[in-house]
Amino acid sequence: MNGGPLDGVRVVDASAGAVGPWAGSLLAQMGARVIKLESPQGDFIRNIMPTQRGLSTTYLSMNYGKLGLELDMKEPQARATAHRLITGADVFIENFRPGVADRIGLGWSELSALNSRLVYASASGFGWSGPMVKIGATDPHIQAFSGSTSVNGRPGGHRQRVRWYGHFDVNTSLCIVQGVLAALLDRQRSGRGRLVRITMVEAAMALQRVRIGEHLSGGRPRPMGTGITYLAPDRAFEALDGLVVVTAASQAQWRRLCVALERPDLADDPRFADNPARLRNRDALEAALGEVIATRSCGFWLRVLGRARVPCARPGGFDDFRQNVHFRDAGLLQRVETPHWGSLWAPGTPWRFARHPAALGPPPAPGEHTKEILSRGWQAGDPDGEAAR
Amino acid sequence: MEDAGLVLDRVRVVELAEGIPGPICCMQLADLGADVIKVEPPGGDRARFWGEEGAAPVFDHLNRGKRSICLDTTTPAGRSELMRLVDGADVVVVHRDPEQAEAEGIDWRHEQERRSQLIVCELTDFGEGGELSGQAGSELVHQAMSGFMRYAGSREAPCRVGYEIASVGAAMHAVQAVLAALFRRDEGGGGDHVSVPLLGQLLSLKSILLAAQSDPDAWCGFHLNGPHWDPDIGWETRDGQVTFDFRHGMGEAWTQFCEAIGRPDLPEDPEYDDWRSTIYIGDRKKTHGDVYRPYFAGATSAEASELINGLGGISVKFNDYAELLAHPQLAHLAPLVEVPGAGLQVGTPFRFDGAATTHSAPEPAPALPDEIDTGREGAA
Repeated sequence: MNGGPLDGVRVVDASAGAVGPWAGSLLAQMGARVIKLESPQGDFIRNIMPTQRGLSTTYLSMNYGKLGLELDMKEPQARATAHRLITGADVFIENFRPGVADRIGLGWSELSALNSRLVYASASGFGWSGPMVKIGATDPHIQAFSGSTSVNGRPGGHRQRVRWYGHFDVNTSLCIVQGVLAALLDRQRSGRGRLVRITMVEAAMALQRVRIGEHLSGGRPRPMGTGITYLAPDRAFEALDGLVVVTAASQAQWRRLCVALERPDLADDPRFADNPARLRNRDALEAALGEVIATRSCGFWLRVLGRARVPCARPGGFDDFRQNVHFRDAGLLQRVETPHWGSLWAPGTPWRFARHPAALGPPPAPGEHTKEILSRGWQAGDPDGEAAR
Repeated sequence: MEDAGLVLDRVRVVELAEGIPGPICCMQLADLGADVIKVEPPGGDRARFWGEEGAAPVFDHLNRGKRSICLDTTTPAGRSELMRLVDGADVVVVHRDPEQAEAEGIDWRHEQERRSQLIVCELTDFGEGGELSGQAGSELVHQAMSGFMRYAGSREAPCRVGYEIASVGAAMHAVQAVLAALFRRDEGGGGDHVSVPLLGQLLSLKSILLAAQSDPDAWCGFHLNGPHWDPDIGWETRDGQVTFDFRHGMGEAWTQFCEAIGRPDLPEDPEYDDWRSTIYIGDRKKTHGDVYRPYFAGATSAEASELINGLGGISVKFNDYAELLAHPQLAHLAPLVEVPGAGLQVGTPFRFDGAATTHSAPEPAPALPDEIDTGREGAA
């Protein structure tokens, strides 16, 4: 549709919530034609607040770039329609509870018999067997289960979740997309599709692979407020009028930081000679830096450290960045018009292909393209077929 | 190699990146069968020196399955050695600090255009164009700028997210970019140059929040109020903390829970009509949650979870990594890979049914090689 790298790839996305749907949207952003298949009861995510002009913004944002199809899979005719579409599809995505896909005619064995080239992505919270299999898995629970709370917060404080519940969902989506793409590459060689399985727990562990690696190596990953165990300096400091975060990830950045702070002596101090030494002498290091940073404003340090190419920033939020000229000029944010719900703030696409550009399209109204898909199948939504509508 | 038939067999990758995102991307490509040559600067990848007490867990866990050479790419001889590798590669993954990029002076778009089948994946901190391009970023900087630090700690004392959301997210998106470009190339579409901005992809992961903040009908729901709430510690038990949830429409199970904890009065109390908001997260948990706390304080985490899950709810312990890895559910998953000589590491997070997806016994991360004398033959 937009000439992205997956131009020509056809996806039936029967998933609900965020985990499966965002994977479908990412494939759509890469140029695949994606049909969102919903039951008449609709994706449960429509219950999630807030709404914008009556529809859940989570529903809208997780379905960018798709066509909307509503089918009652209990009806034989609807089932035949779905099977016809899937016969011509490359990818199918589902995250039903165990057993449901088979019951409604969308199981792996049935669909792969219809279409041996089908890549079938199946996503689950805790997996398909084991003591946790019956327990519902949503973001806040996966955060707790997967160990992430043990590295958030202040030293010695309570374990805490990150208060934005959805990151572990879309993180799972990233793994689904990886699996689907790997299976499509595999198919180019073997001619056969695959069942691809992804769990939220394993995706969460992949997200935390640095900290889990630290644990597996006998280290002690733990919360350090704004700091981190393995690198220094890399934390927030109090400037005159607020917090500024500063990182020296390399020796070059460390030396430039010392010069910018007008403390070149620190770069020559053997206690701070390299990162392992700075970690051993973390308290002295942070005290020395903190003393200098406290004398000037955030704005001063952003300018001075920025000029010295030392990573630094001021913690902010949506209100700070939505009007930020850089975010607009670099295409990190955009406005997307929806069919009936006004316009939404949306991210730029996470990848920028020079020759096969990705693009984020509007979400469909639930079932918006049902009629068109019933009459035109995979030609639905094709701008070249405009006259046939 | 013993694992014949992996997806990326015969795909050659050059990694010109340090730290976390580029190396994870290429490690995943190596997991899938690619032949990865890591090009390190004199002295080595900076992550070789990240860690307490001489250990380098960051490096060791992000660089398995690769070979490494050491090149000074700021010299003409080093660059020509690098370009020799690039000439034989299918994929180049690049992540440079601005001053490294300037010292090298390589225009990767141009290098891609010169080799029609080459795929170049360039990780950038702030994206291309815009006043911040050319600045140096870091994990913490991207967390701060994308608003993530408002969701951990408190308003007065924000904390970082304790795992590397910007760097690992960028790695995951870069893997997607490379696999998609390889797919397009195999379909006859030629190579491509693709960039992944660390900050931009973090905003992509916040798509739900961006939409929620656009023009909501009412400012309510946990996608909007997080920055204003207290640290989310779940429910404190005798031996830790647990989650506690009954989903929408499970009022009957909640009533049974109230009876089981000796509070049969709650379902009759109009204050608890909207009972779910009192157990989940947010302001009403703060004002109305005290009625449940004595029960949790007197129970072990296992007891509380057993009661709640037995009624169809959701309760799990706030684990640390040792508890996670010891949990019986992990025996039904395969998140780890045994690296001979280097122990267990986190694997690549998807599986094909009935077929090998990744190397079963990858090589450990390479030792720092001697710097290549650019007068001689390079990597073997």
